[in-house]
Amino acid sequence: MSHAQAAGEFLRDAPRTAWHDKTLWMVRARRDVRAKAVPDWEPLREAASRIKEHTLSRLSQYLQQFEAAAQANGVQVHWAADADEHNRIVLEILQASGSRRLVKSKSMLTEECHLNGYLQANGVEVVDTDLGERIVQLQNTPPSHIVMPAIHLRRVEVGEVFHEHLGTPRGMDDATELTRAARHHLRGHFLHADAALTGVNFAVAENGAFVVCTNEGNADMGAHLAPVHIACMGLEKVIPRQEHLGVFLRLLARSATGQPSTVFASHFVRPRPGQQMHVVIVDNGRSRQLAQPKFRKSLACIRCAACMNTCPVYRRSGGYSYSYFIGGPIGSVLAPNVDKAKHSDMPFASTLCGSCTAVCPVKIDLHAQLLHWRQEVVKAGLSPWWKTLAMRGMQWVLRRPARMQWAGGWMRRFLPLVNALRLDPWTQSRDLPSAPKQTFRQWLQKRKGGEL
Amino acid sequence: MSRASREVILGAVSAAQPESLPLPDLAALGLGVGERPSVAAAVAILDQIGARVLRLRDLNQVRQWVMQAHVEGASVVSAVPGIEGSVRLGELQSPRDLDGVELGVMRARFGVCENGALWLEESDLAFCRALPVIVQRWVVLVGAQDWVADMHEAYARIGQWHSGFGLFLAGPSKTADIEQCLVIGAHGVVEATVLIVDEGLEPLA
Repeated sequence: MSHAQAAGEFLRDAPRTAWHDKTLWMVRARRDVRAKAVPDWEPLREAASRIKEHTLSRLSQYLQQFEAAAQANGVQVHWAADADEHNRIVLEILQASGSRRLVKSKSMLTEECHLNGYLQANGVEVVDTDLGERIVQLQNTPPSHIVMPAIHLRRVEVGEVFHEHLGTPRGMDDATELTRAARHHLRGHFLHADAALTGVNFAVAENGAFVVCTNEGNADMGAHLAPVHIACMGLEKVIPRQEHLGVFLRLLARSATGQPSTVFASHFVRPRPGQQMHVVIVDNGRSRQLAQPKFRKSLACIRCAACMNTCPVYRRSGGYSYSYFIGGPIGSVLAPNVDKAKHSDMPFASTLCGSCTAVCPVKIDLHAQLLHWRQEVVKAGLSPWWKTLAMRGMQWVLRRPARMQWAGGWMRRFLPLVNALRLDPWTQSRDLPSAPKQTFRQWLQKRKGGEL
Repeated sequence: MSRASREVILGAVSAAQPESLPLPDLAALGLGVGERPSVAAAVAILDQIGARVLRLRDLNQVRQWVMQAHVEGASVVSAVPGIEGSVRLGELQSPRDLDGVELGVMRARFGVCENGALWLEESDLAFCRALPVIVQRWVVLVGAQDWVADMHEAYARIGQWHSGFGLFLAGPSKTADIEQCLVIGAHGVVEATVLIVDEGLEPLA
C-alpha cells in the first residue's frame, strides 16, 4: 500500500485525524515554549551538530575507545553486523544466563531488528514496559511514534485493550486509572524478570558509560532489579566526552516533549555486584549510510521526534501510513537506505516545507535529504509508471515553445473537466482555481498590439 | 562470530567515515544559561515538573519531617547517614524487597537550576540503585548552596567520578502515553519531595 493510500485509510476517521493533528501540534508548541526559554538554544544546536559531525568523522576510533573503556568497567561488549546477528546475540546472552523472562524498556533498535518475535519464537517471555509500548504490544501492533508509541489510540481503545488483557473493568477510560492498572501489572513483571533490556541514548567513549533517558522509570526498574542487563545501541550513539552529555541532555527532552529534562537520565558505568551487563553495538546498514555524503548527517539523530511532531504530513497521516517502522521526516530519510524499493514513496510523503529541519536539535538537513532521496528513487527507476509518464510528457511539452502554447490553451479549457471528474488526487477534496479567460501570451500580445 | 563482525563493522566504518572534522570548542560557542545559580529559579522548575519543595533549616528539621511521615504510617528506607528508616538497606536480601516500601530518603550531591534535576551517585543510594524508582515516594535532600546553573556546570562539577552508576533525577516519574494526559507516577514514585536544607549538611565524600 502506498503512503497516500494508507493515509487515506487513516483520514477516514475525521475526528481522530483532527485530534491526532492537534495533539502533536500541541507537543510541538510545548517544545517551542521550552526552547525559547533557553537563551543559548541556537548555539546549543550548533554545538550538538558539530559534535555529531566530528564523531561521525572519527567513528571507528570512538567506537573502539568506548569498547575498551566499557570492558575495563566490567561490561561485556558485542558487535552485530545486522539485525539477525543482533537477535542471535541477545538470545545467546539470555540462554547462557538461563533467563526466560525479559523486561524491555523503549528501544527503537530492537523494533528495527524485530527482536520480540524472534525471542518469543525461542521461548522467551518478552514484556515491553514503556506504557505506550505495552499498549501496542498487547494489541500486537508496532509503535506509531518513536516517543509516543500509542499516540494514534484514544483512551477508550486503551480501556478496551486493558479490559481484555489486564482484566480492568469494562469501560474504564480514565488516564490515571489506566496508568495505575498498568503500573500494578508491570511491577509484577519487573519483580520477576530474569533479564532487562534497554536502549542507549548516549554512549560516552572516554569513560565507557552509557546513558538511558526515560520519564516512567521503566529502564531503571528493569535494569536495577534483574540479574542481567542488556543494552542495545546503534553504532551512531557514541559521543566523545562526558561533557558533551551536557549539550545533548539540554536538547533532548525539550525537543521531544517540551520538558526541561527527562525524569531519569541514568548513567550506567559498571554492573552492580553479581550482575551481568552487556552492550550490543549494531551496524545494520548504518555504515552504508555513513558512506553516503548526502545522507550521512541522518546518523546524528538523537530520536527526539520533533521532526515528526511538526510535520504537516505526519500529523495528518499517522505513523502507520509509512512503510517503515519510523515514520515522519527522519524515518523517510532512514528507510530508503534500508530498502530503497520497499520504501520508495516515503521521501515523497512530505511537502518539503522544511519545518523538520528548523526544529531538529542536531541540525539534520532533513528536507534537503528528502529531496535527494527523491532523486535517487527516480534514478533507480523506482517511481510509479504514471509519474514517469507525466514527467516525460511535461518534458516533451516544455521543450518547444509551440507545444507549450498549444498545451497552455488546451489546459485552460480542460481545467473545469479536471474539477468535475475529480481527475487529480488534489481535486478530491478541493477545486483547482478556474482558468483565466486568456493565456499570458495572449494578454501580452494584446497589450503590445500584436507583437511579442 | 561476534569477533569477526567487530572487524567487519569497524572496517566498514573506517572506509565510510569522511575526513576528520574538528571537535568544536564549546566555550567559544557561548554555551550556558549565563546566569548565576538561583534556587528560586530551581524551585519554580521543580514546581512545574510536579515535585514538592520544602526549605528546611538543618538536618534536625529533616529528621522531624521524616519522623512525621513515619508516624503517619509510612514505611521508610533511608540512604542518608543520620536518618533512620524503619527498613534497613543493609538487611535486604535483594533490591526487590523494597517493593511496597512507602518512602525513600536520599541526599543529592547537587541540583541543576535550569531543569530541576538532582545528581545522585550509587553511594548516595547506599548502593541500592533501584531505590529512587522502586519506593512509592521519595524525598531528596539537597544543600541550599549545592546548586549549579545548567547542565554544563553540572558535568564540570561531576568531573572524573568513580561510581558504577549515577543519575539525574528530575521530579516524580510520569507518563503521557494515554492521549497525552499527564499522569504522575508511572513506574517510579507517585510523589517527590525536594528538601532544600540551609545548613549543617556534611560534605559528601
